[in-house]
Amino acid sequence: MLANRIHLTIDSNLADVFLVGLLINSASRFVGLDETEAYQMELCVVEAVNNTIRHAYGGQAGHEVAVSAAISPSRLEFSVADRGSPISGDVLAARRWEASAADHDPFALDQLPEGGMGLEIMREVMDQVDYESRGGVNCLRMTKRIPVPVLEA
Amino acid sequence: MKIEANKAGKILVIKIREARFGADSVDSFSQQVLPFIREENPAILLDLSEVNFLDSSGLAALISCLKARNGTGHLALCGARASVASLFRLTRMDRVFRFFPTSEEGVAALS
Repeated sequence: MLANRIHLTIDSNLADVFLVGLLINSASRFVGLDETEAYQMELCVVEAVNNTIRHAYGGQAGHEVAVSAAISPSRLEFSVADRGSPISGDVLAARRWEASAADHDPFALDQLPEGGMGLEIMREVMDQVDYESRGGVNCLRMTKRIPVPVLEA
Repeated sequence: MKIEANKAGKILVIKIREARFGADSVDSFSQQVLPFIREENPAILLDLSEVNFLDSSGLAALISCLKARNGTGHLALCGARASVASLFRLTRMDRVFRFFPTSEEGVAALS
């Protein structure tokens, strides 16, 4: 099934990121996701854009962040691209919540994370998360498959 | 960010009066809320009932509040809608924070 596509560009300004979020949420609801699922699609794209602004562009406004969405009833694909500093291999390789780190000790307050959760959230929610840096362009791609409802005979 | 702080008996209820609690509002949140957190309030209830979008930056600000309490009193959350609550589950933070469905139930339980 063909997907509907949209491409938009925002300035690298955290105050503008909500505009992307609203669009992703509305499009996700349109293809049938419930409130929580649509929120999680919005969350992942917002996290990716926030990371781009903070890390690729060092929190500085005045740079372009390009967001694309391809939406169909069976699949959602999102990409966030920039021309800033690429994510390091160490950051990409780190898996905060794997194995023993999965359960936070509620009594070990100093060990609770106060950052770096965005990429892990994307990996938890999405079926696939890929990142590549080529020719000065960094691009993070996320895919979520939407289960097709089984019709009862 | 607009917040509202009210006492319900000994409980301080801090309500976030915004639909979105994200990266662009955490500085304002922390500046307003951390002073309350550091005061000697035996129990604080953060009311998220008007928040329909919370990202990891907003969550991190809530974690900072918990750390600032440093185990010296209750800090609980109330009113989180199902979508927002899902972020706590995704990040395993549902094990760290105490949740109540409504501020009334939170106040009753903590009083």
